[in-house]
Amino acid sequence: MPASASMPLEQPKRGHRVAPQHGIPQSPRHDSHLRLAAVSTRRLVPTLGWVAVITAVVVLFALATLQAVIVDRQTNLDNVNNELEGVRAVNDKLRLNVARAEAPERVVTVAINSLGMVEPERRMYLVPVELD
Amino acid sequence: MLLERSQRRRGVAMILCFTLMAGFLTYRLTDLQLFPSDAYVDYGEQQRIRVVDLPARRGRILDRNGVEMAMSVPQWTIWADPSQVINPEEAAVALAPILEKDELHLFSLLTEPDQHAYLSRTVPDSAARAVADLELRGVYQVEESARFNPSGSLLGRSVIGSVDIDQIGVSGVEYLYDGLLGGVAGEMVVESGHGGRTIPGGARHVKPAVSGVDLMLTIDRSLQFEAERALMRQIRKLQASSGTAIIMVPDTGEILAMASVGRNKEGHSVLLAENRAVTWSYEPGSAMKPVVFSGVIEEGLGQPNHFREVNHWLQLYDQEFTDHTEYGTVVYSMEEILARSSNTGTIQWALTLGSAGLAQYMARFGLGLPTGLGFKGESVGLVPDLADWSGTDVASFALGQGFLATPLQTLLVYNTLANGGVRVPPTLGHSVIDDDGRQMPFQRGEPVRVVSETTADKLTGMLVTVVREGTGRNAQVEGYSVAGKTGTGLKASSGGTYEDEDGRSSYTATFAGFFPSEDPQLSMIIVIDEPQTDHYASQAAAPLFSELAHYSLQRLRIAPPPNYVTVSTTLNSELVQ
Repeated sequence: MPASASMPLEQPKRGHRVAPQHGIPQSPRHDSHLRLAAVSTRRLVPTLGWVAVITAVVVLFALATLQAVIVDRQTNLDNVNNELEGVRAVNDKLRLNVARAEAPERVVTVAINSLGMVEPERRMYLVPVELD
Repeated sequence: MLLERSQRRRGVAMILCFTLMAGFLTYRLTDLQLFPSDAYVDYGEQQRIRVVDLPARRGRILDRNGVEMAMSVPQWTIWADPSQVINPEEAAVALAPILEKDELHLFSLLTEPDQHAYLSRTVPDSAARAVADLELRGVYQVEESARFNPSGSLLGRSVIGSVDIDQIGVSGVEYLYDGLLGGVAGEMVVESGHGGRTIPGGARHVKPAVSGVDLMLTIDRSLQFEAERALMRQIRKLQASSGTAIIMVPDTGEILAMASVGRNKEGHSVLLAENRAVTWSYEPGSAMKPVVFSGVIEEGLGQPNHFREVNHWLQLYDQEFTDHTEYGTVVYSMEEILARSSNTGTIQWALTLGSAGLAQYMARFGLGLPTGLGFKGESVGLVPDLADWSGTDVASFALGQGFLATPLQTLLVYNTLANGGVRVPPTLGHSVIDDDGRQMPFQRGEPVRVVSETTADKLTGMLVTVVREGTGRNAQVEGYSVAGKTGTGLKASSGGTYEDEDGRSSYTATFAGFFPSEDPQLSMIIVIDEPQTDHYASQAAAPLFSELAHYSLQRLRIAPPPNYVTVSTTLNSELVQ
């Protein structure tokens, strides 16, 4: 049975260890002999220190990860840019090939040399006839 | 005991040495890191900071239908760092057949004291791959743009022009519109690490390159091709030294085709790089007679149906002028004088107009003045100042002799008449197309009224008669009414006379005109320089005019006017067969 529940609390004597109090402390108005004890800073400092160290490690790790991601993305960006330039160059070359294939000089050469066509000695142009 | 003491001393000395070294290194490291000198900062930046040139894409040159006539495509340039080449002799032997270069030349490049030597610029991909396969140390490749004329390396070369190895226009349209086509190069400053990889978040400055715009010309590729082929055939047939053909749209000044054919050193007829339609000036001969009659009619001094007594021979001061046939004394109307191309009749009307009047109309038609085309090396011709005219100059100039005009200037006279008396500056630029595909038309030059519409109409009627009944009959086009004029000009020899030492003369044959005369859609000039087999323009130039006019009308789908429909029975019978 907890002492605070059934027995009146006494002033702790010097050198005596006080058992930690559990539950909700009663109002000092009803138990004016009770007081709030300050938490020992000697225990808080190591805890905060560990939290700070862990936080720093996490932050540093996050920063390193972020940096790695940025480097990776930059590499990807460089690769995409190079790829884009390459594709553009290929596109230009294909366009050049198309234009060359359509060149009148080539068409005439192919028609004569490959298809056996001959140039007419005389050209005849059709002229519209007036209809009645 | 002594030994232990000695060892201890040595140990202390070593510790002291290491401590001093560590201290020095710590000091140096601290000094470098915390108090860096500018020199080291600069040195570090030189290693990291890389300036990347961003070349501007040179715009394409398109014909009026959007067909590529010139375009830039990335190619590989092979260069070497001679200091890194292990065996220049072997490298030269291996590279020579691939790069199609002389071995000795390559060897000299590979043994240069410099650290950079171009071995071959803008080589095809296949050659670049072959060089890469050789895996030669000190031989590298870099991408560079090269200019191609995909429609044929010679097609329209005198108009398109060329660029130098650095893609800067040096002639033709490439030079004329270099500012539009070239764009503005940019640069990118980046921090890069090992292998040239960009350091993320490093210093970066980008000045983007501005691409050149695509330039759409007024040239029609098919017309250009046909004009060049037909002109080449005619030059061969006539054994002429050179020739020029221009096809234009009179009311806009758009040049559809501009061909220049000449002869190379071996005497073969070839397409010229020089655009003689604008760079070469000559005495156009009778093709200039319409200028005289325009002035006469505009000034109210005569009309096409006014008659005059004309003799085939006329003396003015100390100079004799004759027609090419003897016919005694006859009475010709102004229209007949032009149709027969009578020199003496034209001179009489020119004398009526007077020197001042003729000079005024020559200037109003643009003779001796820039055309506004702005082509590199364009000639303005040569028309003497009125104050310097001799007593016979009015007669000579009326016959198209004694002054110089380019073929384009001559054609502009006919354009003016086709336009109802308004001179429109010629142009090769149709529009520009930016990166976003927006098409912006070129701003046209200001038209200038030269003669009234009435005068132009009367002259058109006279020129139609020339083709229908006069010296220009060979320029007729089936189904269409053509207005035009022949011009057989004498060429001045080096001695300043019209005959060489052997008493022989050289000629130029010109035919200029427009069609359909009722609603002129096209104008054209053919100039044949020094035809040998037949020097008369009616035989040398007019038939080619007719041939190209036929083709142009078909190509551009220009229907004959409804009230001018004739079909030859010969043509029909041939078609039936």
